[in-house]
Amino acid sequence: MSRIAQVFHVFRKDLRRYWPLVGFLTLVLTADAFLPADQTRYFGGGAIGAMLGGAGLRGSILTLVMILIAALVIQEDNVSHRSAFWSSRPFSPMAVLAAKGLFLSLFLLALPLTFQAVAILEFGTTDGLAGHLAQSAFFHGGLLAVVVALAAVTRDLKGTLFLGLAGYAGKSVLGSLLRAPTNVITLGPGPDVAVDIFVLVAALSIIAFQYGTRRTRQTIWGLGVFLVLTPVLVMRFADRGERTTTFFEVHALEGEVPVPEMVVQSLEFAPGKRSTRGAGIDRIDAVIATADTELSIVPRMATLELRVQTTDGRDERSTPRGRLYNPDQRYAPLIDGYEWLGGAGEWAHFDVPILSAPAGTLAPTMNAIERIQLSTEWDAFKRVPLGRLSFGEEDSFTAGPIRMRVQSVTYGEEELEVALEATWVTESRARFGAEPPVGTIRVIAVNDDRKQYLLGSSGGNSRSSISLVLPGPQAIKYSINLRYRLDTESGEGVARDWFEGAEILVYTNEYVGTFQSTMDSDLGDLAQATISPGAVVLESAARMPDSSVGSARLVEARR
Amino acid sequence: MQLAKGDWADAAIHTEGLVHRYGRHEALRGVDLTVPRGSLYALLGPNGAGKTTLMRILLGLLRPTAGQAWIGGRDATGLRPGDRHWLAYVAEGQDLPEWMTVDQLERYLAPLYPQWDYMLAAELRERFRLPGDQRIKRMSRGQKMKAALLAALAPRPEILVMDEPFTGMDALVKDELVHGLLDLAQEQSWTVFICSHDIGELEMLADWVGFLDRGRLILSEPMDVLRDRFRRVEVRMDRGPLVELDALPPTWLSPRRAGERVEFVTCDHGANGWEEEVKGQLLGSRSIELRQTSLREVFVALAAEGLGGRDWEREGGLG
Repeated sequence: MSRIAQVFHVFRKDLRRYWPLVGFLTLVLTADAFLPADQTRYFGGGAIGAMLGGAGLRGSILTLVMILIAALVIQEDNVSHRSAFWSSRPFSPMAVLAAKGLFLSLFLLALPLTFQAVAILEFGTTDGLAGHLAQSAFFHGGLLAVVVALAAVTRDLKGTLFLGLAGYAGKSVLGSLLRAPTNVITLGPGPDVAVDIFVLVAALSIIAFQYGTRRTRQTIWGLGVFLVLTPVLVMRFADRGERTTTFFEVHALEGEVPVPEMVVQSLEFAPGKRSTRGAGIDRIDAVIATADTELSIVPRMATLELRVQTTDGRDERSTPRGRLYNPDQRYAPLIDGYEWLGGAGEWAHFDVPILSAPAGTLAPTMNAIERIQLSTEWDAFKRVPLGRLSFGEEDSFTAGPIRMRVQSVTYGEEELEVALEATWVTESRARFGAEPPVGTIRVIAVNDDRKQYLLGSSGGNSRSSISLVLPGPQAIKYSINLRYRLDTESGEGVARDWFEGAEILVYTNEYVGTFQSTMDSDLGDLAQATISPGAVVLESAARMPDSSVGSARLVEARR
Repeated sequence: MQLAKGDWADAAIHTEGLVHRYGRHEALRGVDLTVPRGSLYALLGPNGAGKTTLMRILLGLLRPTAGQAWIGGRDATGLRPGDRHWLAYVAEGQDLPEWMTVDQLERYLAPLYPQWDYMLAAELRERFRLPGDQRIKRMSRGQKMKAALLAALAPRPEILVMDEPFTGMDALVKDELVHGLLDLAQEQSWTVFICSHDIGELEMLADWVGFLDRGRLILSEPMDVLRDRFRRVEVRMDRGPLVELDALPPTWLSPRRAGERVEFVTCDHGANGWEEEVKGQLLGSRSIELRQTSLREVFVALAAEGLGGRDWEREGGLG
């Protein structure tokens, strides 16, 4: 039997074995391509939630079925088992591998792409169809290659899933240690396409090596080294200035976001209840900062920025809930339950799944947001003090909270400058008729080099603010660990206390140039800095009425 | 690489200085083995002796750390898919596509072998009483092994390598298999290289025997030679000084004392002056009784020596 004949021989055998799964896959693909997906809802945070919420339950089932088929087809004739059936028979290893490749390409790549093409055509567009399909095939193929590589070095499905989960956990830990935004596919920051190609080629090489040489042990070691080294190599060789796209991050490459389509046509919101302080909401601004119009099998995110002005200008904590609508009403993902620790007049950022494609179908992303509907619930802002020192029963000195704002991050040839603005409040209380204790708060920033920078100090009952430019090394990331020292002087001596735990991360490999960022830093609940590119910003402003539903119109668009 | 003519060109299997290490563990330590073409070679050895490793190297499924192996005259590390037309492998726990029926398995495999013998396959199915329409996963362990054997024998291989083929089978099935295999191997002049812990079955089957202990081949010879030179010896002693068992010749295996008797298995029966040596070593011996040994007794004696830490490497084996 010739090699070509063997390829089809093994292919037919696999089809005979797995036709029920392929049939089920086709059914779900059909359903996904032709049934409306507007019942999707948000299932919670994180990857799974976004997957379920963004792509719908069908999409998730589809993904799982595809992973299942890929793993089973490979393991049907695997070499990691000591006594694999085919390995002692007159099969050409490359013919077996080619048969597997043919099966996976046909049913897990070509089939979904066909349905994607149908879905795109259903949207009434043929522009760039081939490009979109090629891009999806590349991305999807990379994902499959990883699954196939995992399946090839494990004995059974259980092993594949275990190794996959272990790899994912390891990657997360590593990413966390590297303090870098990580990508499920690319395993780390860096030029996406280059890394995708690397992952794809490496995974395929592992499979080819294993089938070609039957050296299972070496292959498993190779995969381990590959998994460990990839993020490190990527971190080492990633070009600065390249945009790194994380799994749930928005594509915001300048020039690729079609601004005219990103129109916030209306903003509706219900005022909800008043805060317990009785303050009303004066105004809500909403901005779609970035969004993605690319095709993908994973849900993409838009960064929605909200700003709340209260009637008395004081801080509020809000929980906005709402929906994004696109013109076709095809997808209506919820932004539900995002807790927002926004201060009065400060921007808060939400990554909102705007839904790209149901997983597997590779259907097009929603390419416009027609309106945003928001409702908000308000609670009194809980002030989190930095520290509180008591002197007697009623005397106390309280400092904080501190709010940090990164005004700009500027690259120099040799150094990096971060302009920070910090504001904080100190309060002293004393028994009636007595002198309040006098305290001093010093805010000190400590960078990675353990250099400390005094941001400012104040005491008594005051609201303080200071701006400082911090010189720093040119680095991929710049981390500022804050710790607060509270020195309180009173007639009874000096009390000192340190409060640590706040940390601000500024990723400076995101963009070259100057950009703006905002962040909130309440002790113990500090948000990671979110960098707004400032390249594509659409603003709409709305004045919040006291009752009923308000509306807002687009007032400004700028790049 | 082809085996050089004139050396072992007629051997079905030949290895020279075969070494294999799993990390620090040395599974094979310089195995020199020759299996004549057409022989039924039984490879014995305790668990962990390196039998499966040796077989997997011969089949090209494992690369030796050092040394060379030839099977069917070809370098085992360079076997091509086409070489597996004449080389069959059956192993305990070997994967089978269990979702297939026996009929489907035959239809799947037959096109791969130019010499697939449909008549023989039908005959084997009948002889093994294998239902053609039953999925393999629903079969008993013995039936699965029969299905594997059918798949291995139907292509009429020249060399059949079998690793523990009788595991899990009842005595009747084993007997059927052994006789079936014997008939076929004799008819077809196949070379069968087999390892099993079912020594009784191997004794019926084999005409050559090898013993592997801790990665070293300590003997390899025709069964009739082995039968000639191994004897169980029972020596009755007069009362007298106790015999120092450790001081007995190394060719007296597993010596033990039971009252007035000293028993051991000798591997040099028939050598000149053998009886005189017994009498010389065991002073005060009254009588010497010799008994034919079974293969099982030889195995137990050799395995016990190995367990006792005997250094075959230093002694150069028993071959």
